[in-house]
Amino acid sequence: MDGAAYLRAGGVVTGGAVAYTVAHSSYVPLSVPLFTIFVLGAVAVSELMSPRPSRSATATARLAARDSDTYLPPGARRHLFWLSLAVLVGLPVIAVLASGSPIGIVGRQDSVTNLWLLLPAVIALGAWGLLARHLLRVIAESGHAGLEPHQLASDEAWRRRAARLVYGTTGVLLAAPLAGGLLVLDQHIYFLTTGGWGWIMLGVTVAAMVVLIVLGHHLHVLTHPGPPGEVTPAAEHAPAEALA
Amino acid sequence: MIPTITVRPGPVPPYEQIRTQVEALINGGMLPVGHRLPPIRQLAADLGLATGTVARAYQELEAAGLVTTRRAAGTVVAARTAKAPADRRGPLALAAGGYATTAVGLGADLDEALDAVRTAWPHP
Repeated sequence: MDGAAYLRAGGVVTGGAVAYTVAHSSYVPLSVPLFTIFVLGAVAVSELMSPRPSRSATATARLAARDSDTYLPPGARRHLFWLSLAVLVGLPVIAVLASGSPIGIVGRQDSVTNLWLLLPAVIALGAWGLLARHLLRVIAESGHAGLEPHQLASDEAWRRRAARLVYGTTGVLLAAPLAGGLLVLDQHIYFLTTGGWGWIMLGVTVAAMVVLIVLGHHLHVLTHPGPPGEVTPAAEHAPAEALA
Repeated sequence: MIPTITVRPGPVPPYEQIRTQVEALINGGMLPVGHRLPPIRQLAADLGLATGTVARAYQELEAAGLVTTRRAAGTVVAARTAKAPADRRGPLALAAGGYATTAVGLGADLDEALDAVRTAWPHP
């Protein structure tokens, strides 16, 4: 793992720790926004550390539109759609079910107030959603490195890496609050059933494990999005067949 | 093989260079009907030009009926439609007048002139 990857992983871990602490205080609504800020801050700083291919010196362009979907893993948009839907449905349900809990994330109020407390999270995740969409367009439309085979290869690698970084970040920002919410709901049910293992608790636990696996997948993409695609002197002299 | 265009420094404005090159590629069949051209921002970034320059070239191509721009699909090469009879009647009459003058000057009669047109007419 390189320095940038450590930084991104550190951002997720620190953000998660801060969010967990805040979630058990009176500043509950700030939990998800703070996590978002830590993750995005780490990704932004890590990107400043990562090189990217230099722009082409000649004013030549291919007459073909670049599509951001070609740089994302197969089915990425569909995957994120279902994850977003799970968060959109799951978090309000958790907020309602956890109302009245002595320790829940939003458990000190009635269910309507709990739903209002989710508003900062919705705003933070919605804002990132819009920004991510814009970033994917910028990644596809930004100037190319040139039309030589090694330049095309490095250009492709850079765009792929940047798009995967956006995908990984989005997945982490969506999956982490959902996983956290499910675990807190689990805790809530545990207290309600005074330690008994009901079927509901088992279902919530399984759901939390599934979301944690999804979170792990996105965390992996976030820390290992691919090579930066810089044009190295060796690559510049490599034959086209070697890069194909 | 994806066609490429190049903008060179010189007296011809960049938008005109883009327009003529894209027009030549469409007319030459290198860009088929329905081919999606790069978005304005992408082409401008690749060529190192302002977006307004590429937008002007696209506007002129659209005005010439070579491309169509739609919000969802972007800019695509348009299907070539035959001009309406009213549009081609004038240019045809003008060309026929010139040909008739040449034929009469050569001493050819109408049948001979029409035969020459039939012979020269491209067959599919």
